[in-house]
Amino acid sequence: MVGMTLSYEARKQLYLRLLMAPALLLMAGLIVFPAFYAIALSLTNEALLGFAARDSSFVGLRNFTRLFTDPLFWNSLKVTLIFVIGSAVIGQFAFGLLSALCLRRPIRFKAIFNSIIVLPNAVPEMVVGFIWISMYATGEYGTLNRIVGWFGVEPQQWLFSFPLMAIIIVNTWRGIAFAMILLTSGLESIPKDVYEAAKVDGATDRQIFFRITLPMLMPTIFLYMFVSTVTTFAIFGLVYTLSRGGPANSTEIIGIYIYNQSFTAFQLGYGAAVAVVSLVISMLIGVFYVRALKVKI
Amino acid sequence: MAGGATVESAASQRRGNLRAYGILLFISFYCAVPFLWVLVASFDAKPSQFLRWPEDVTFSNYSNLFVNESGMLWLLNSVVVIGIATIIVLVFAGLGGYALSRTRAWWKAPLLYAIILVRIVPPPALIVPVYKVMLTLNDGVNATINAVVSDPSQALFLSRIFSFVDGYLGLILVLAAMQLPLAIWIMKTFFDAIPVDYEEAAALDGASTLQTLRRILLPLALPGLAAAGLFAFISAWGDFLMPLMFTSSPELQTLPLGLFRAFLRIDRIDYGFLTALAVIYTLPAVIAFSFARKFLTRTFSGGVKG
Amino acid sequence: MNCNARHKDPAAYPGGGRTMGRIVKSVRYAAVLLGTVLALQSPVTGAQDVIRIAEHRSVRLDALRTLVPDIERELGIEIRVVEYPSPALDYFTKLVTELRSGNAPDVFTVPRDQQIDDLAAAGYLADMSETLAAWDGYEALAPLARQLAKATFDRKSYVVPSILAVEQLYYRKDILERHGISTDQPADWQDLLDRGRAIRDKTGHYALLFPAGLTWGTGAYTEGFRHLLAGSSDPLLLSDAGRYRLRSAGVRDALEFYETLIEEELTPIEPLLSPEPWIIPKYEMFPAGELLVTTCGTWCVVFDWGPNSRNPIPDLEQRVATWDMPGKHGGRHVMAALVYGWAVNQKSRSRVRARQVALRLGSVDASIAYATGLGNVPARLDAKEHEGFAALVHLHDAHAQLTRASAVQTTVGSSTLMAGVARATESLLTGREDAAGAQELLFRYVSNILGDEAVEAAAR
Repeated sequence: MVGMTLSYEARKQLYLRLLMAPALLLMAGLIVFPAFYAIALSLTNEALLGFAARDSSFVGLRNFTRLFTDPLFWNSLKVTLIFVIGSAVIGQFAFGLLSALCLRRPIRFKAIFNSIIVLPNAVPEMVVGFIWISMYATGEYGTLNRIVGWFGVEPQQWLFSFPLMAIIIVNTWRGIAFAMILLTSGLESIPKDVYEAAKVDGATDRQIFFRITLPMLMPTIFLYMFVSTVTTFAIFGLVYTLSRGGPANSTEIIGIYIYNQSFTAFQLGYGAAVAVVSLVISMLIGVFYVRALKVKI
Repeated sequence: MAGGATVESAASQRRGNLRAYGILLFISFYCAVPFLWVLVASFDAKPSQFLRWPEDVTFSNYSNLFVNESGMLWLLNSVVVIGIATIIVLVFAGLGGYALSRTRAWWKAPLLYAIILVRIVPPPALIVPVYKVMLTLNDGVNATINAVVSDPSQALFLSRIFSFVDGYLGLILVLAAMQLPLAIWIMKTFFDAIPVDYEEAAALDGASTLQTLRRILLPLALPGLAAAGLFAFISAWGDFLMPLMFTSSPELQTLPLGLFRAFLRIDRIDYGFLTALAVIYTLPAVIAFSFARKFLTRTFSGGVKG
Repeated sequence: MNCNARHKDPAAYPGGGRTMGRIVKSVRYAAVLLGTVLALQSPVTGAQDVIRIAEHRSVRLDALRTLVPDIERELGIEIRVVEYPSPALDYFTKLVTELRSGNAPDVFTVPRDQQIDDLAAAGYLADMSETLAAWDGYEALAPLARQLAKATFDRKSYVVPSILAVEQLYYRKDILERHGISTDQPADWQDLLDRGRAIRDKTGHYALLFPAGLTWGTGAYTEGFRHLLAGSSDPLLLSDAGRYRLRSAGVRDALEFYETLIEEELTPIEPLLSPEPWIIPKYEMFPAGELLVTTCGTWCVVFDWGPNSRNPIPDLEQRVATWDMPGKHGGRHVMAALVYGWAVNQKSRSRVRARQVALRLGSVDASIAYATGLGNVPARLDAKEHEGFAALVHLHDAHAQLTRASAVQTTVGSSTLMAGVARATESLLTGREDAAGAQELLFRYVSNILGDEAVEAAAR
């Protein structure tokens, strides 16, 4: 009975380790270990087809030399960057901030506007793809084609002619609510008397916005940028159900590229190499965030 | 457009409000229009890919879901898989969050930083190694099943449940694991706010740690568990990647994959069935989000103080 | 509910007990739900063997379901049909990942003969050599089918052939005649291209389609590239040692042909870059007379343009006719492929039974059931004596061609080769590379993945 000889505090500390074990084990087994295992896999010719599926062999950095000379890899990085900037950094943020600011005014139907804007946020990825395929449907009866038809624009093949823009619009649509909610709380945390003082000094709306609101909102904006960049970087299902990375790789964000290389070309080793690059990028973002925001634990 | 209106003239205030209405109408239009088709088509007797006002309004698309066995089966599968995954997340994150909050081990800080980093690992980057891990576990499960059961149909039944690839167990665990980092973070911050005094008082009264946990901490932790559970549920419910990777048998399909596959059957798309099912699939997530909303800000700013 | 419960007394939570009760109740509901789902999954039968067959695409599923009752009765087993996703890429992805995990159904189809090598080399397919040798239908198979059922690396047979795709050039006879363009069999590539230019100049429509590009997947190779390679100046894809010869003059010829088609605007380009590239050219442009010649298999007259297709071509027999694919310097050939051969999962729990099922699916009546729905040709030559064959008028010619049909031999690594061809042709479509650049791209892609030992470095 070792336990008897331990103090209450020591026993409790032991007990606590036991309590966190299941969660830590599950995360270690299915997230942390795989992340490191990806590095090992990226150095092999592991595949799902051919002799390499039975016994793979170590190929050194061959996957990485291929990756850095593969125009499709660079294309996927470029597409990811545009996608993240276009939807998370610009689209969601701009519409979210506008909504947050407008909803602070003394206007009616606030609750209705609010619920409509929040609606897309919770919709499952598959349904997002499903309903936007109908929005973007080609021909004069496609919903978006009818809408632009009101302004005299000819029917377009949206997913073919403007594929990257099309998925940016969808992801913006989905994320306005998150930006709005976060920024609203940021706006609320700005003390009222700062505004009062500024108004007494005769500042205009524009001056108040750029000199007071925006600077004091900065921590929230920064936090928002981090969370939305990370989530947008990790998007898969939304693009997969809409375009699968096509046409001609124009929407092949990095998650789709990993999937296509690993499970339609069946090159697990190469897919793992791309995954390693993707992991490194997100870890860099994470470390930057932890430092810059001085995360308190 | 900024806050209080003490000095603002009535005219400029009205102008500003009008502008706000305009902007909000535009954004609401953008947000709402895509839903019209799925809603309207689900009540249309002859729905198509295009938005149009139905000639015959019908509820049969919905009632057919209960007749059409696959729709019901996908729904049940989703409820069971996501339900169990959420429960696992709640239990593991509840215990883990509490322990992390109270532990005094030297590795507490590094571990917490590590969890932040784990939180931002993009799931698509994990599919290859996770698939390999699941394969290894799966080989073990199959070997065990083959050693214990000789009847192929029973073996099939067992492998449906315990397999890591194309089985309930694997999908449940992988979905739970992906939600854990956020949930454990929520619970840890939550327990940080609950003073240690309660537990110590209970301990002095002779209660065991487990008793303390159940009688005193569980009731206190319910709001935190609600937040963690709602976020885990929404995220797992909407996830597409993991079901895509780890299910194939039609009997095991959850809603996202069932819908997706039915939609790919280009020669035979039943839009009535699909839209009605999509509405049913969306509802729980939207309802859960309406509850989760108020936790959103706190959750994401948790642990961030400038 | 407030997240922040800092200053609340636990005693102020009398609801704790009630909450527990609620939790217990919901656990009970969950248990009932779980029971229901498990009941839906549970084994119904005890004594009979259960064989699972993976099948995809509505037509194929329909054909299989008509066959199942007979097979169950004859073999005394229970068959469960497992529906797999229908697009070719999704089907293959799912099949391979499930085979690797050991949970794939007992019996399934290999969509294209080129894939047999890769699947067999990975150890997924059960050896069918002895089963086939002892089968009374084996000698009745078209010789090409027997040859294509074997893996190149060990000469063992891995699938039971059921149907073959016979592929030729299909052209709009009605429109060509109306514009006074010759409908004679083209003598060589030059003749075919001249015919294409005449079509472009006289009708203003696109002349020739050879599938290409990434989104067409394996089709860029199987329905496009290999037709050209087979008639090129150097048609062998493999060296004596079984390495891929990707710097050969033949590969260059084929890519240059594509380049000509693209440069001279003889082929539609934009549709080939779309997610489902076959839809516009094959289902829309060809029926509308906006594309006049395309490679295709017998399935086209049923599936793409037949009476039950999306855009049927009325009086199909009068309006559409076929040419053999000419060679670069003369000669002509009909290409065939062993499609959807039946294979058995190496990790199946009841391999013996599964083999019997596969053989049964190779019988004449089964292949005729599939041939009818898909528009492919039964792999067995004795099928023409079967009563069901008479109804398949549109397949009679193609079935008769089987004895002179040919194929391009590939080996392990064929899926990489096909992906490489898709990339190389895509780079031509987008104008990023010329034929020489595309060939180098193909060479580098394949050698990067399969290793230098799998490809011939030199041109010869």
